[in-house]
Amino acid sequence: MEKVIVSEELVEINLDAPSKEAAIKILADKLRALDYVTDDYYENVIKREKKFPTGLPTVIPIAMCHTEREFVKQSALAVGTLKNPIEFQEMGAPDRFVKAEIIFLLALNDPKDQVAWLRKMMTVFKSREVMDKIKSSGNNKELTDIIKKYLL
Amino acid sequence: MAKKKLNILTVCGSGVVTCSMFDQRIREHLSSLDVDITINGTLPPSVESLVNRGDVDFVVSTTNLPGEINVPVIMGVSLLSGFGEDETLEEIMKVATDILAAK
Repeated sequence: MEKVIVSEELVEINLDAPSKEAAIKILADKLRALDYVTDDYYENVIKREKKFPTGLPTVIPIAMCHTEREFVKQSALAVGTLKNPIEFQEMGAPDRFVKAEIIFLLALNDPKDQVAWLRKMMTVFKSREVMDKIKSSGNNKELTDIIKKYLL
Repeated sequence: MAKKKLNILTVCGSGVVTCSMFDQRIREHLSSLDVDITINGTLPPSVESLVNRGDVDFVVSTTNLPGEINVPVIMGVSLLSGFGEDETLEEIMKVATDILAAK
Protein backbone atom coordinates (compact mmCIF):
# COMPACT_ATOMS: atom_id res chain seq x y z
CA MET A 1 0.00 0.00 0.00
CA GLU A 2 1.23 3.44 -0.84
CA LYS A 3 1.78 5.60 2.21
CA VAL A 4 -0.85 8.20 3.11
CA ILE A 5 1.14 11.19 4.32
CA VAL A 6 0.15 12.99 7.50
CA SER A 7 2.37 15.81 8.72
CA GLU A 8 2.26 18.94 10.82
CA GLU A 9 2.14 21.01 7.64
CA LEU A 10 -1.18 19.35 6.76
CA VAL A 11 -3.15 19.98 9.94
CA GLU A 12 -4.60 23.00 11.66
CA ILE A 13 -6.23 23.28 15.04
CA ASN A 14 -8.91 25.89 15.71
CA LEU A 15 -9.32 26.57 12.04
CA ASP A 16 -11.27 29.79 11.78
CA ALA A 17 -13.27 30.04 8.55
CA PRO A 18 -16.56 31.74 7.64
CA SER A 19 -17.80 28.98 5.32
CA LYS A 20 -17.18 25.37 4.39
CA GLU A 21 -15.62 26.51 1.12
CA ALA A 22 -13.16 28.74 3.00
CA ALA A 23 -12.31 25.95 5.44
CA ILE A 24 -11.75 23.42 2.67
CA LYS A 25 -9.62 25.99 0.80
CA ILE A 26 -7.29 26.43 3.79
CA LEU A 27 -6.75 22.66 4.01
CA ALA A 28 -6.54 22.16 0.23
CA ASP A 29 -3.90 24.90 0.02
CA LYS A 30 -1.76 22.92 2.44
CA LEU A 31 -1.92 19.88 0.15
CA ARG A 32 -1.22 22.07 -2.89
CA ALA A 33 1.75 23.80 -1.22
CA LEU A 34 3.46 20.43 -0.82
CA ASP A 35 2.56 19.52 -4.42
CA TYR A 36 0.49 16.53 -3.27
CA VAL A 37 -2.50 17.59 -5.39
CA THR A 38 -3.12 19.35 -8.69
CA ASP A 39 -4.04 23.04 -9.08
CA ASP A 40 -7.69 22.17 -9.68
CA TYR A 41 -7.98 19.79 -6.70
CA TYR A 42 -9.77 22.36 -4.54
CA GLU A 43 -12.45 23.26 -7.09
CA ASN A 44 -13.10 19.58 -7.73
CA VAL A 45 -13.50 18.86 -4.02
CA ILE A 46 -16.09 21.65 -3.87
CA LYS A 47 -17.83 20.36 -7.00
CA ARG A 48 -17.99 16.88 -5.56
CA GLU A 49 -19.16 18.09 -2.14
CA LYS A 50 -22.13 19.75 -3.87
CA LYS A 51 -23.04 16.58 -5.71
CA PHE A 52 -22.17 14.06 -3.01
CA PRO A 53 -22.06 15.79 0.38
CA THR A 54 -19.81 14.24 3.02
CA GLY A 55 -21.14 15.55 6.33
CA LEU A 56 -21.51 12.69 8.83
CA PRO A 57 -23.44 12.77 12.12
CA THR A 58 -20.64 10.90 13.91
CA VAL A 59 -20.01 11.06 17.71
CA ILE A 60 -18.38 14.39 16.92
CA PRO A 61 -19.86 15.54 13.61
CA ILE A 62 -17.39 15.66 10.73
CA ALA A 63 -17.05 16.14 7.00
CA MET A 64 -14.81 13.79 5.06
CA CYS A 65 -14.28 15.73 1.85
CA HIS A 66 -12.50 14.16 -1.11
CA THR A 67 -12.48 13.98 -4.87
CA GLU A 68 -11.36 11.74 -7.71
CA ARG A 69 -7.87 10.30 -7.82
CA GLU A 70 -6.93 12.14 -11.01
CA PHE A 71 -6.43 15.33 -8.94
CA VAL A 72 -4.08 13.63 -6.49
CA LYS A 73 -0.33 13.22 -6.99
CA GLN A 74 0.62 11.89 -3.55
CA SER A 75 -1.79 10.31 -1.09
CA ALA A 76 -2.19 12.44 2.00
CA LEU A 77 -4.66 13.50 4.65
CA ALA A 78 -5.27 17.09 5.78
CA VAL A 79 -7.21 17.64 9.00
CA GLY A 80 -8.65 20.76 10.58
CA THR A 81 -10.45 21.09 13.90
CA LEU A 82 -12.87 23.98 13.59
CA LYS A 83 -13.02 26.96 15.93
CA ASN A 84 -16.74 27.20 15.21
CA PRO A 85 -18.77 24.32 13.77
CA ILE A 86 -19.59 24.66 10.06
CA GLU A 87 -22.73 23.30 8.40
CA PHE A 88 -22.28 20.58 5.82
CA GLN A 89 -25.01 18.72 4.01
CA GLU A 90 -25.34 15.18 5.26
CA MET A 91 -24.13 12.31 3.16
CA GLY A 92 -27.08 10.50 1.59
CA ALA A 93 -29.58 13.06 2.94
CA PRO A 94 -28.69 16.42 1.36
CA ASP A 95 -31.76 18.10 2.86
CA ARG A 96 -30.28 17.54 6.32
CA PHE A 97 -27.26 19.32 7.78
CA VAL A 98 -24.56 18.40 10.25
CA LYS A 99 -22.55 20.97 12.17
CA ALA A 100 -19.10 19.63 11.48
CA GLU A 101 -16.46 20.18 14.15
CA ILE A 102 -13.63 18.49 12.29
CA ILE A 103 -12.85 18.34 8.57
CA PHE A 104 -10.91 15.43 7.11
CA LEU A 105 -9.75 16.26 3.60
CA LEU A 106 -8.67 13.08 1.85
CA ALA A 107 -6.33 13.00 -1.10
CA LEU A 108 -5.99 9.42 -2.28
CA ASN A 109 -4.45 8.47 -5.59
CA ASP A 110 -5.31 4.79 -5.41
CA PRO A 111 -8.21 4.27 -2.99
CA LYS A 112 -8.59 0.61 -4.04
CA ASP A 113 -5.10 0.04 -2.71
CA GLN A 114 -5.91 2.00 0.44
CA VAL A 115 -8.98 0.08 1.53
CA ALA A 116 -7.44 -1.14 4.79
CA TRP A 117 -6.57 2.44 5.66
CA LEU A 118 -10.08 3.64 4.82
CA ARG A 119 -11.57 0.99 7.09
CA LYS A 120 -9.30 2.14 9.90
CA MET A 121 -10.49 5.66 9.29
CA MET A 122 -14.12 4.61 9.72
CA THR A 123 -13.24 3.00 13.05
CA VAL A 124 -11.71 6.28 14.18
CA PHE A 125 -14.82 8.25 13.17
CA LYS A 126 -16.93 6.03 15.39
CA SER A 127 -14.61 6.11 18.40
CA ARG A 128 -15.65 8.69 20.99
CA GLU A 129 -12.25 8.38 22.65
CA VAL A 130 -10.16 9.09 19.55
CA MET A 131 -12.46 11.79 18.20
CA ASP A 132 -12.37 13.58 21.57
CA LYS A 133 -8.57 13.48 21.46
CA ILE A 134 -8.51 14.89 17.93
CA LYS A 135 -10.99 17.61 18.81
CA SER A 136 -9.18 18.68 21.95
CA SER A 137 -5.64 18.72 20.49
CA GLY A 138 -3.84 21.76 21.89
CA ASN A 139 -1.44 22.28 19.00
CA ASN A 140 -0.73 21.04 15.49
CA LYS A 141 1.97 18.62 16.61
CA GLU A 142 -0.37 16.96 19.09
CA LEU A 143 -3.06 16.64 16.42
CA THR A 144 -0.57 15.15 13.96
CA ASP A 145 0.67 12.64 16.54
CA ILE A 146 -2.85 11.47 17.38
CA ILE A 147 -3.75 10.99 13.73
CA LYS A 148 -0.54 9.12 13.06
CA LYS A 149 -1.09 6.91 16.08
CA TYR A 150 -4.59 5.85 15.09
CA LEU A 151 -4.55 6.04 11.31
CA LEU A 152 -1.10 5.09 10.08
CA MET B 1 -24.66 -28.86 -1.72
CA ALA B 2 -22.90 -25.72 -2.90
CA LYS B 3 -23.18 -22.67 -0.69
CA LYS B 4 -25.78 -20.13 -1.64
CA LYS B 5 -24.48 -16.85 -3.00
CA LEU B 6 -25.22 -13.25 -2.15
CA ASN B 7 -24.18 -10.52 -4.54
CA ILE B 8 -24.23 -7.07 -2.93
CA LEU B 9 -23.61 -3.79 -4.70
CA THR B 10 -22.30 -0.87 -2.63
CA VAL B 11 -22.67 2.64 -4.03
CA CYS B 12 -20.86 5.91 -3.28
CA GLY B 13 -19.90 9.03 -5.21
CA SER B 14 -16.48 7.78 -6.25
CA GLY B 15 -17.37 4.10 -6.31
CA VAL B 16 -14.48 3.35 -3.97
CA VAL B 17 -13.59 5.72 -1.13
CA THR B 18 -16.72 5.62 1.02
CA CYS B 19 -17.95 2.20 -0.11
CA SER B 20 -14.76 0.46 0.89
CA MET B 21 -14.98 1.90 4.38
CA PHE B 22 -18.08 -0.11 5.20
CA ASP B 23 -18.12 -3.18 2.93
CA GLN B 24 -16.24 -5.25 5.50
CA ARG B 25 -18.82 -4.29 8.12
CA ILE B 26 -21.57 -5.80 5.96
CA ARG B 27 -19.55 -8.93 5.30
CA GLU B 28 -18.88 -9.47 9.02
CA HIS B 29 -22.50 -8.90 9.93
CA LEU B 30 -23.70 -11.50 7.42
CA SER B 31 -20.99 -14.05 8.24
CA SER B 32 -23.41 -16.13 10.33
CA LEU B 33 -25.47 -16.87 7.20
CA ASP B 34 -22.76 -19.18 5.86
CA VAL B 35 -23.08 -18.05 2.24
CA ASP B 36 -20.60 -16.88 -0.38
CA ILE B 37 -20.73 -13.10 -0.29
CA THR B 38 -19.55 -10.91 -3.13
CA ILE B 39 -19.45 -7.14 -2.60
CA ASN B 40 -18.63 -4.72 -5.41
CA GLY B 41 -18.52 -0.94 -5.24
CA THR B 42 -19.86 1.28 -7.98
CA LEU B 43 -20.96 4.80 -8.94
CA PRO B 44 -24.61 5.94 -8.79
CA PRO B 45 -25.15 6.18 -12.59
CA SER B 46 -24.01 2.57 -13.08
CA VAL B 47 -26.39 0.97 -10.59
CA GLU B 48 -29.47 0.63 -12.78
CA SER B 49 -27.69 -1.20 -15.60
CA LEU B 50 -25.72 -3.44 -13.21
CA VAL B 51 -28.94 -4.40 -11.41
CA ASN B 52 -30.75 -4.99 -14.70
CA ARG B 53 -28.15 -7.58 -15.66
CA GLY B 54 -29.84 -9.67 -13.00
CA ASP B 55 -27.14 -10.90 -10.67
CA VAL B 56 -27.30 -8.21 -7.96
CA ASP B 57 -29.32 -9.27 -4.88
CA PHE B 58 -29.48 -5.93 -3.13
CA VAL B 59 -27.86 -2.50 -2.97
CA VAL B 60 -26.35 -0.58 -0.05
CA SER B 61 -25.96 3.06 -1.02
CA THR B 62 -24.65 6.27 0.53
CA THR B 63 -26.60 8.43 -1.89
CA ASN B 64 -29.92 8.64 -3.70
CA LEU B 65 -29.93 6.67 -6.91
CA PRO B 66 -31.10 7.69 -10.37
CA GLY B 67 -33.30 5.40 -12.43
CA GLU B 68 -35.47 2.53 -11.37
CA ILE B 69 -33.75 -0.02 -9.19
CA ASN B 70 -35.73 -3.24 -9.00
CA VAL B 71 -33.90 -4.83 -6.06
CA PRO B 72 -33.95 -3.65 -2.41
CA VAL B 73 -31.91 -0.50 -1.79
CA ILE B 74 -30.69 0.14 1.76
CA MET B 75 -29.18 3.45 2.83
CA GLY B 76 -25.74 2.74 4.31
CA VAL B 77 -24.53 6.08 5.70
CA SER B 78 -25.20 4.96 9.27
CA LEU B 79 -22.56 2.26 8.84
CA LEU B 80 -20.05 5.11 8.56
CA SER B 81 -21.42 7.44 11.18
CA GLY B 82 -22.52 4.84 13.71
CA PHE B 83 -25.76 6.80 14.09
CA GLY B 84 -28.60 4.33 13.47
CA GLU B 85 -26.11 1.61 12.56
CA ASP B 86 -27.85 -1.23 14.41
CA GLU B 87 -31.12 -0.59 12.58
CA THR B 88 -29.33 -0.58 9.22
CA LEU B 89 -27.50 -3.82 10.01
CA GLU B 90 -30.80 -5.38 11.06
CA GLU B 91 -32.39 -4.27 7.78
CA ILE B 92 -29.48 -5.72 5.80
CA MET B 93 -29.82 -9.03 7.65
CA LYS B 94 -33.55 -9.16 7.02
CA VAL B 95 -33.23 -8.38 3.31
CA ALA B 96 -30.41 -10.93 2.94
CA THR B 97 -32.36 -13.62 4.81
CA ASP B 98 -35.50 -13.04 2.69
CA ILE B 99 -33.52 -13.20 -0.53
CA LEU B 100 -31.75 -16.41 0.51
CA ALA B 101 -35.05 -18.04 1.53
CA ALA B 102 -36.36 -17.41 -1.99
CA LYS B 103 -33.29 -18.89 -3.72
